[in-house]
Amino acid sequence: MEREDILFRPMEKTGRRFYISAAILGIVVLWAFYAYISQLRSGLGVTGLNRPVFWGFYITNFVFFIGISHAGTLISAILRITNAEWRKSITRSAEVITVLVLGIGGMNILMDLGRPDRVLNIVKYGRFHSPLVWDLVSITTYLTASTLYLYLPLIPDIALLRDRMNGPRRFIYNVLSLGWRGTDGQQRILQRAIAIMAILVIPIAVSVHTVVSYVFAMTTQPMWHSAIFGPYFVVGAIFSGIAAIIIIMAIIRRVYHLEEYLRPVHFKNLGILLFVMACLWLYFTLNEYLTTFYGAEPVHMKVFYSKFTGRYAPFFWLMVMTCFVIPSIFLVNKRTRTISGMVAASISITAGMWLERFVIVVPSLANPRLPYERGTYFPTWVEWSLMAGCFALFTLLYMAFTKLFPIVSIWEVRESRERGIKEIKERVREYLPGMEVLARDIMTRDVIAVTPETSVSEIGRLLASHRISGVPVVDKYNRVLGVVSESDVIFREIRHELTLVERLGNIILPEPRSEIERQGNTAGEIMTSPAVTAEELTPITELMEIFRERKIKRIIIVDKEGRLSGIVSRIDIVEAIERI
Amino acid sequence: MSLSRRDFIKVAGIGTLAAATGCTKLSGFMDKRGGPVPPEGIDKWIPSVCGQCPDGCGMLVRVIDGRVVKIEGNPVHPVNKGTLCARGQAGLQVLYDPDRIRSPLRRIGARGDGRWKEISWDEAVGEVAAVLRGIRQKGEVHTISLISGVENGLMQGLLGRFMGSLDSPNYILASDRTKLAPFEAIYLTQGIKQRPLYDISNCSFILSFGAPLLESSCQTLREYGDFRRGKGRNRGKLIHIGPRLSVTGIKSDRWIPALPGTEGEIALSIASVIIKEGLFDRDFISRYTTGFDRFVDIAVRDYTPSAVSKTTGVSEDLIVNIAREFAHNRPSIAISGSLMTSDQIAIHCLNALAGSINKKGGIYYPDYEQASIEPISEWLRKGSYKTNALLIYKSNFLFNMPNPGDMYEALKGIPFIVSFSSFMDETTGMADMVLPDNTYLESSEIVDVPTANGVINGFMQPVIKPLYRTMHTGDVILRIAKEAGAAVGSYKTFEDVLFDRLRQIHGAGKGYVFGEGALPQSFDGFIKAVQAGGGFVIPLSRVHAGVFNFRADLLKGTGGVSHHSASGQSGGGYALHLHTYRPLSSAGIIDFNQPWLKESFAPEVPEMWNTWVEINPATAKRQGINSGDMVWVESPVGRIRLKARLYPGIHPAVVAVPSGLGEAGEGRWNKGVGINPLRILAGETDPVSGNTLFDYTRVKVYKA
Amino acid sequence: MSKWGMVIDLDKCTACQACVVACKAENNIPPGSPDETERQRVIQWMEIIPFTSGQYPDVRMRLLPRPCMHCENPPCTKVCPVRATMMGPEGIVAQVYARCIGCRYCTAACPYTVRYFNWHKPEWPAEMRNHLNPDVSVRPAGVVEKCTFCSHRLQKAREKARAEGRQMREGDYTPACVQTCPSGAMFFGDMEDPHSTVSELIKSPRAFRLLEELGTEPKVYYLSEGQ
Repeated sequence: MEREDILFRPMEKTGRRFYISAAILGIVVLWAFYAYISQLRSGLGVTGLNRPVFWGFYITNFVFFIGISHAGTLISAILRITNAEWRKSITRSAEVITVLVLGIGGMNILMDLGRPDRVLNIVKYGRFHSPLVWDLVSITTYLTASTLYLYLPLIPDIALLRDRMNGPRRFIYNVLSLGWRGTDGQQRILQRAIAIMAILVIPIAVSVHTVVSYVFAMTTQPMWHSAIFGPYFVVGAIFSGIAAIIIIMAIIRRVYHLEEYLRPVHFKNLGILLFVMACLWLYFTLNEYLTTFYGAEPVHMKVFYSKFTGRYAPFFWLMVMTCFVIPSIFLVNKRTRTISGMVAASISITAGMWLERFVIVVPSLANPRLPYERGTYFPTWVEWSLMAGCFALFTLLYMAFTKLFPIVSIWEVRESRERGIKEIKERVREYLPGMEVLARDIMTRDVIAVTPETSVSEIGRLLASHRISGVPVVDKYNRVLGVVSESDVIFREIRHELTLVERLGNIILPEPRSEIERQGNTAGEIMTSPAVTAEELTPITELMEIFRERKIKRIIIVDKEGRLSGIVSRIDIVEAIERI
Repeated sequence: MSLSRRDFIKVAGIGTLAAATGCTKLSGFMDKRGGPVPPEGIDKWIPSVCGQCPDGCGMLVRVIDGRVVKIEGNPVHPVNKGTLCARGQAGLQVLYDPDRIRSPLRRIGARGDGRWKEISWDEAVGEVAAVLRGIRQKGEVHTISLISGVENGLMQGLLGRFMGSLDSPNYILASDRTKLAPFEAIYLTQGIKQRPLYDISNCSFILSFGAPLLESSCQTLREYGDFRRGKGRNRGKLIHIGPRLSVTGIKSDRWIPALPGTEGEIALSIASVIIKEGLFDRDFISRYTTGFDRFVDIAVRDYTPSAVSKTTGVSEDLIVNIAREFAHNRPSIAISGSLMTSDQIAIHCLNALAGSINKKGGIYYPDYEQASIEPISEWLRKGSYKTNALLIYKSNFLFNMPNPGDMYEALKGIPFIVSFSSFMDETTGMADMVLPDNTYLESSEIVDVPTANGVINGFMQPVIKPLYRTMHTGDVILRIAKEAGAAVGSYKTFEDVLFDRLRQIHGAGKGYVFGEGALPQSFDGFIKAVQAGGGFVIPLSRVHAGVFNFRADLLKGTGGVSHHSASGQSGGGYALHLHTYRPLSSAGIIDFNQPWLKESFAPEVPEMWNTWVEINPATAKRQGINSGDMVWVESPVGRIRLKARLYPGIHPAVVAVPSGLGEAGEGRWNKGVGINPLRILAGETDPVSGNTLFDYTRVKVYKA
Repeated sequence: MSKWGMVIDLDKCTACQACVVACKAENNIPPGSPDETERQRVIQWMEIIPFTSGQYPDVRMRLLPRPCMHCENPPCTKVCPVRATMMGPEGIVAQVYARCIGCRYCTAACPYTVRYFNWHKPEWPAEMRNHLNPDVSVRPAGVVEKCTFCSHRLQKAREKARAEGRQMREGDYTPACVQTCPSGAMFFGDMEDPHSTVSELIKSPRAFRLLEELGTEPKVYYLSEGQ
């Protein structure tokens, strides 16, 4: 399909701009590598870390990047499970973030180690009491799961690439496509596998940042030892993750001209999610600080005030601004809820969430319980370089990914398009209120009804004059008791051996009421009871089902109390379908 | 193992020296694979005497294969009983100071340029001897001066005899030691020139007038433990009156802020209460004192609590309470530092009122003759006195004296200066020749410390051979004397001096060796016992206090000295008093190129490697100064730029600067570390004694 | 089994810092420098910390010598991911330098901030390497270190007692800080032995421990000043 060419283009053509930016990023990465080598050679002393600020940029970055990782896989999994159709063109780009950023987060831990050469001791001598070990387990699991979760939906696309490409790349795609032919069996297996992974990945993701928070919360240090740190961190992680997705989506949309695939609606949807998370974040932040303030324990208050009015106040208040105030302005206002507005909000949030991590890690350490000299912390060029290196490496790897694999899931988008709007619409109607046509919408409202006392002849007259085939029978409260149809009337006539003329005569010249009763010629006697009814809110799909099963011509529509409110006949259904 | 070229020490070193614990082996508990382990070897513990300050604590030095590894206190030494203060512990960094002078030096650049040439000992000794001989031949022996920082030990005597044989009267003492005692007051009231002994262990109540009780002597540190919680006694009480909440103040039961120069008044008001309420020791007053009536007149008339309360800000109730406590909790001691003489006397009179003189828990005066040495202030005052040769031994007086500008000028005019210092400090930097001494761990000496229980003679012996081409100054002096034609007795080496003294002691037959009951019969046995135990004790009879003269004539108001105008510099906007104090870590230390001590400079202010100025938060607020700001502290003499620290423990009209840092020598941990505040002291002298006053300079402080 | 503990009588303590320097000399702590001090990287297993309360003129200060508390319930050991720190059978919280990965989790978790990190390789001027104590290993760069109660001395004391064919006695094993204390303010011994000096001392109403409310159960007790 021609319109898909744009998705293949990054893999087929690489311009100068790409190489220039890759070179610049490469230089930054190399510079960071040099910085790390110098740290390896002379120890962590080259950083600004000290006693008591034992942790600084590296741990902040670790928490930050692991937080970002919640964007991709977690959100993609939730959207997939709930079958949100709009997800299809964005999941891939989000999942890549997760995989890359998890690795970079892990790297930050390595950078922070005094003895990176002994990192395997964690395996050799691991002590399961240590939240750091939980972290290790949780993060590696998440990395594995999200890599798999990225790879599975990639297989059909790799197969597409395999079929398009020549040369050595074809070989690689051939291997990676695992012999995908798109057969029904393969499709079934893939769908099943993706579904399993999507479910599996959610608890893992939640566990990851919960456990990251435990690194802090499991100590007794002031303003770390908090029970809400788990959910607080998870919320913050998703929050920053969504922001990261928005930024990256906007970039690839611009760079690879994917305006058609990444549409304002995607940004709008994510933007709404982002605002929800901003509110949640504020809620947790409020909880955290308010309880501390009310508890007013002196050691905690030392940290509290160092954030509110002290040395870290600029960071703290900037965090409040960038995490909530600025994004809210952009997201609440309809005029700024544009792509660029959303990107601005997201950049603000990303910076803000980094600050949040910093404001959690450093002030608690800088204000130890015992009255030592307060700690101060100024990161050195090494820490700045390594941080820049992390961002550069991420960007570089992301760019490389877009050159190797389609950043929009081609087959999923194609599938959506091919299976047709109809199927989607139907599916949408299944679960979306307002999307489905209901009995209420198509029923005839001004229904002629009779009481049980109405005489058969009267009914006959009504049927004939209104050209209808039946009438509902209601009591004095308008509750439906039954229905009298043409056939009821006709069969009754036969029972009484009346001629058609007689019958018609009866209809035209009604007999006195008492006489009819005496003769048993009332609606109450001949009606079919109970009537087949359905409530006003019954979708037409269900009505159709009823018509099919009961082989009747009309369904009486009642309200919640069983009072008559309308009637739907087969022709109404036909007309309704016609309209759709 | 050969410890010294001196045979006797060599023999004894192998034969008797302390508990060798054999090979040190360690495994198991601490995982050793963590890092390189220092080499192991044969352990020896050798007793000697600490040389970081003049207190003469006994130490046991752990030596492994000629490396000094650890210093502990000598458990059988009667002074320190197995303990050691921070300075003693840091001795390793004196011995292994990488910036020590390693051989004799001759100046090659201009004086003070710091350019030197290494020369041989023969050359060095020959040159110095030649200069001295020349001066002698011209008949100008009085133009040879020797400045020494040593008050006790054999070297002090030897140097005296050396100057004697040169016929020079100019043997001058420039002790760097933080003064704990009011020497002037004791001399003027009691006619005693000896260092007093405060029996803190047995004292019930101490009234400290800014005394550096816990910032000067190791002995006091030890006694303080007993004072507070000794066995079989009640807890002693300590009240500290002074401008700053010093360590003594912090450890005291109460700190009463007072301006410098008001201590005497407060003491007199306390005296007035004691007298008025009849709480003084009538027996002592009537039997051992004169001038009491006159004193009563002045104290009771002029220094009533209400009057003093108005001028000093110390509340009347407090004065009365302190007076009662002081009088009731006997034995009680009033103690001051080196305050103005009139204040010292006022304070010392309280001791007479409480009858605390020559009493258990009071003040003792040891009957122990120590050579009388002319103080450096006297020497300087003889401005016109021409000096042709100056010898400097264990003193960095240029660092330790207030406003040393005059002294620099004086040194510039001296044609020949010799320093025996082991370290290139600012005073040595002015020398023409440096003949470096051994450090105390490579040296020998007998350090005599008079105490209430006799004179403790610590035996200092070299625990290792000199690391570099340095030489015991005793040996050097004897050689110079001989070559200059002024031999000191028949001594060839310092070892002879040492032996002479030991023979003398053994001959007298009194006393006992540390850790043993009596003096061994044979001289050899005595030597061995002394080497193994670390020293010996000679019994001592106490000096009779004689008559205590209240010297009301020298008190303020009578001697014409009024406290606030002591320096007469209150004009010119110098609104604040400058209080300098020396933390314990550097007290008495000759060269402070010792990083461990620098890191533990002052425990009450967690600032390291830097000189700061302490300002009361209220004062700082008024001046808009925040903690950590750089400020100028300016006196009429000069100004220094310091980091401000807001310290709640200081009188609002006073700023305090610690001294001890800012040495300008070659030491890598000295250079550029801190500033010496003594530089801007006005250098006022006491109107009575003529001694330099440290605490009466006025300054202004403003943001830099 | 013994439980080693320390008692510091603040009424006798003169804040002279002998303990601070003795510890450095005993345990091969390298000399500091103004630079590294400025960066707050001084290593002092034993340290005097000033507590200040009140305002001038009623200001009160308290100077507390602070070794490792050797908590009975140490917050540091359980966070170590590699078992590089643990409490020994006699209650001494030890650090295995060879295993430590330098993550500094224990340093961050210690409420007393008594753990130190080797930001650089410890360095001595060549001359000063001579005074290194062979009983104590020199730490490599990048690992955490802390007060050990001079446990190498325990090892030696035990070996000595064994060689002499006797049980350990009070006073056989004393850390360097306690040994040197000039005013005799520090005591050390077996807390399990009801007759030991330390056991007697901690019965005093003056006895308290630092941050007792955290439930860390320090084995370093203080005796407060005053009556």
